[in-house]
Amino acid sequence: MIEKSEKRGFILTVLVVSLVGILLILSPGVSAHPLDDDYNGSSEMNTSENAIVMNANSKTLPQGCDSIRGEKKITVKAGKEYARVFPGEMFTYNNRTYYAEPCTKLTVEFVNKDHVRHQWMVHGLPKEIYPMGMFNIEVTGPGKKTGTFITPSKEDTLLVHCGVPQHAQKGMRAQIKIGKSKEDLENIPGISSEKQTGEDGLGGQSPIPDSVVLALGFGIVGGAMIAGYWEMRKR
Amino acid sequence: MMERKVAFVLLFCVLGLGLALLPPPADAHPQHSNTSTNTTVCNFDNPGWREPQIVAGVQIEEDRSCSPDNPNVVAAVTKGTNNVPKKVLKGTGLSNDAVTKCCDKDGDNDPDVINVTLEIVGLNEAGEESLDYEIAPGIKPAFWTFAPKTRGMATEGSAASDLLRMPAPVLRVEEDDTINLKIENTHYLPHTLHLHGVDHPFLDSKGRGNDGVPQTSEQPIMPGESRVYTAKPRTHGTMFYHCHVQPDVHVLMGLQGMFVVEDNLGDNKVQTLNIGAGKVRHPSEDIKEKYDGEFDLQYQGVDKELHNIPKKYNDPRRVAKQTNRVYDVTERDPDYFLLNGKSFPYTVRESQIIVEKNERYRLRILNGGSRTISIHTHGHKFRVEELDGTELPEDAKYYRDVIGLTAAQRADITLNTTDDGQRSYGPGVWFMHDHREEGVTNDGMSPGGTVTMITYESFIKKNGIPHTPEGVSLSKFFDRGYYNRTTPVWDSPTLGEPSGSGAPEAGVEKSNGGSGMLILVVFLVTALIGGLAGGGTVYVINKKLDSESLPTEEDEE
Repeated sequence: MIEKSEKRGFILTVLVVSLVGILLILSPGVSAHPLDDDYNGSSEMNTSENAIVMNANSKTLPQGCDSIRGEKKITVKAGKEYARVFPGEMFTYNNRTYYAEPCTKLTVEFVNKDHVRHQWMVHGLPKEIYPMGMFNIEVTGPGKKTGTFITPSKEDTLLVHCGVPQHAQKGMRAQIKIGKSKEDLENIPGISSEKQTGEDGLGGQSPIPDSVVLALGFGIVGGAMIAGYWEMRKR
Repeated sequence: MMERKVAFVLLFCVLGLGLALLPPPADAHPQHSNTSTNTTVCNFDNPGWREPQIVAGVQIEEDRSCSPDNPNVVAAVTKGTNNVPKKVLKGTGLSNDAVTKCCDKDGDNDPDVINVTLEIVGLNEAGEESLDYEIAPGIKPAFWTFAPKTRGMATEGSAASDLLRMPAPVLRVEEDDTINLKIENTHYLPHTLHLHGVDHPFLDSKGRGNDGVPQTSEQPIMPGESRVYTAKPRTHGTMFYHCHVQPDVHVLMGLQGMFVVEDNLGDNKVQTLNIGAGKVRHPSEDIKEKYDGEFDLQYQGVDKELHNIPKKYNDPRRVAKQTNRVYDVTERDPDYFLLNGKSFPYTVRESQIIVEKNERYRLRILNGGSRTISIHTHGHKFRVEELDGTELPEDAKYYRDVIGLTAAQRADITLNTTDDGQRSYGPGVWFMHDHREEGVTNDGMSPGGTVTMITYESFIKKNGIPHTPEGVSLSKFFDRGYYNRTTPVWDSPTLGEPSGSGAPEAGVEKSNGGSGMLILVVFLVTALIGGLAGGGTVYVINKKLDSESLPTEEDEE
């Protein structure tokens, strides 16, 4: 017969040791503290009128719309300052989910706070009226540009991103929810996570230290459980 | 005993679980795809681009390469994106302010204030839809480079995407021009610009740092920021420009290009950007006077260990840590070698030196890599004219057939195609390559690296590919399987793939099997150690508990 207190103490030991093991298993996923950016880079004035709107549309109705059902105006700001709250990102939009009804004339004022080019590019629009299904406002900041397009009739969530190389990968992704669409797109900062399993889970060569830590963790958990079971049976 | 059997079963279950969760063994060649692809040597959609032509009043020379530069781009960067018709600019993908020119200050009928805007792009970096760029079939290391400012989408097939490539564009201005180089840092890391060999003041007119060195000149340009560097070079020659932030990493990642200052002549609208280097389709007045053609040749090596980091990590902090603090450039071991941003066989499409008999060609060579290169021309001895952008005295100019350049050195040479047994041995398809043997391989697989050819007109086919003798074909090198080491070099029963066990030869699959085995062994050993530690701890603690509170017959009553 095993004493209750003995049993409790025993189970506690197994649990504590297993916890150590589990922590080791989970540790590779923990990221470092966010660095503080130093914004001392000198800035130059935006000397050119470098702002364009591609595929603007305020007249042609998308299929399924018999008339423009309404009008809406939104302001979107973009730049590195909005990414400070998202560790691991570099550029993003101040707001990353927009709402609009179908067949709405949507006017977007795109404000770029940085001193480089950014885009607010919508995808998945009907290709019959929007070449490549795209609407784009592009501004070399600091500056702003306003553009208008008509939303499609289908209730859906459309992707918005910046097409400058690596900007979407480093945080410039957003979504427009048309009508009652509830779907969240993946990898929108502050809204949804990345598709892959972990920050570094991109496949390819795995650094040995992570594997070693994992092995150690599993070993400890396994060993503790086996020893525990063995001990129990002994009594 | 039962318990022991059950314990062993449990042990194996834990090990099995661990193994199942183990990440896949390291792939020694992560950039290589296994699938065989289209082995068409030349696959180019715009054969009309090869013709000599005039666009927006700019004369564009013939280029019989498989993949010549877009004449609209050449015209726009020569005349200025602010001076060409919108129709011409639209098809190029360049932004309005990519190259603006104005102001004839010295009255010689050409603009003397040149404003260039460069962005900083990553190629083959982490994340889906990252800009795709192959240096050879199936080989796509990540790069960071300067690119002309573009507009609109940069996805595959767009006009802009053709401009986003290695190497950074060759910049070209006249002596005494004022050049304002605006760097818009669209990348996610800090960068600067350093003008190497180009006469520039240490501080600009507003007293701000103009040399690009973070330790002595200025703060780096942070992501999202921009800065203008300015120069009014008083001397001409072939020079260099590169990032000076953590240069051991950034320069070698691709943030480097040639900077050519031409002689100041009248009516001399110079081709300010030579994107992808190679043939200059609108040479300067000085070159036109003295030569029949001009080629820019930029060489550098690529260490896949470094270039794999931005492919693997998406978090800028991790990229910074891995490149700055984990990667050790003193252990650098280059695997790929680029000529104008490509390795053989892609150099055949873009970087052949196509020549005619009895002519003179100016070749400008930059070694942007970390190792010395030994450039050798088959069939010719060339004359060395200038070194590091400085002309040699006439009697010091000399002929040779191998030129060695160490890091950052430049050489300007004259290739003369007069068949006199020294300057040329006659027409042919003459290999031109780095004579250091590793420099002509792709990760050790030969032929590769910086191989190109001096190809005479009589030997070039309509599609820009050289004629090869009966039975000789270049198409097998365009199959990814070749550089993936899955196809034998010689396809014959006596020298082809060995038959038998079917297991890969030791050394063929190199580190593939090796590092996988290593990880497995390390895992098993560590799991065992962990098991002993965990089990031992439980055992010891319980032994202690036992001794402290031994139940006795008396206590239980």
